[in-house]
Amino acid sequence: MESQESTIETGELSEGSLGEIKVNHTVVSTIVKMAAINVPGVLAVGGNFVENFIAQISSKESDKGVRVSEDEAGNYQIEVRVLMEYGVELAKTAESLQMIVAKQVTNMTGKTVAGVDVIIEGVKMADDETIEEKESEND
Amino acid sequence: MPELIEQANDLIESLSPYTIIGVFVAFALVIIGLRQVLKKPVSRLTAFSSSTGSVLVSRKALQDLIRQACLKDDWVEAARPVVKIVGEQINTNVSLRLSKADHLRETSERLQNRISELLQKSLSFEQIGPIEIMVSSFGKSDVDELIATETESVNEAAPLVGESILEPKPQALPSPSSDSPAKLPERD
Repeated sequence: MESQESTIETGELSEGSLGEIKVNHTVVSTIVKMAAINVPGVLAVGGNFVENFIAQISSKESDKGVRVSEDEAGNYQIEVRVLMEYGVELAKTAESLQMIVAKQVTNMTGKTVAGVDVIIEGVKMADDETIEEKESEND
Repeated sequence: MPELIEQANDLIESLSPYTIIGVFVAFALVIIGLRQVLKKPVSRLTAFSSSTGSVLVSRKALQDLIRQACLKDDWVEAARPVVKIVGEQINTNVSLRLSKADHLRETSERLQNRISELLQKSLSFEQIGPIEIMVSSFGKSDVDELIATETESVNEAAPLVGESILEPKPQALPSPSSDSPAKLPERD
């Protein structure tokens, strides 16, 4: 498997008579990010502080929290880190996230997705102000 | 050997303070960099794995989840959960600040059940280890009430003895920094 760390890493989409069409992994990670954010129960996509900081300085904003690689057969292997909403069934939400991401990537790139690994990095209230207010009142 | 020490001394003396500070900063950066590279990966727990991929939950997410569940309770003012992942088992230790001391046991038991249910239902975790609830302090309003009650009782018991005896004694209260926090038995 190859990592997406190399910015020139591309996945071959198709080879027609007019030439090759390639999709950069950055594009795939953007698709993943957009699909993930639209899943009910997912609040945000992102890694930990260090990874986000590295993503910021490396100007690879769209890669933040998403890792795309390809297996030997050329299928995408995706890893996505998410922040979920408190109250949702995390396992079910993660399962639907896997399916939606795989479907969206396949639809848009035409390539098969071998697997989507979901890492739940945090859980937050949709309106975290309530908790923050409670804590600040008590302090 | 003494020559070497002398040479080292000469070298240090010849360096400017800025150079020495620079060397120290560089050394500190190298140490920080090495720690980042060599540190253990964040502990995560696999919720489930299937042909479509696996779902992992970080320790921080579990702590967030437990903290939010505790703060939902009316009697909880603050919660600090610590989750330890031992093999495939989750051991939980929650430190609480309750608004009132009256409902200590009920609140703690309710939270134990809530956390257990949450981990089982929301994440399908089967191997839930002990959930320890540690009530470490009580809210400000409750402390004020206790001060008032204690002051009244002191006034009744020893009238006009002196001003100092009427002052509440902080150590008599269930203070937040109490050395022996109320601890409930572990849950099986």
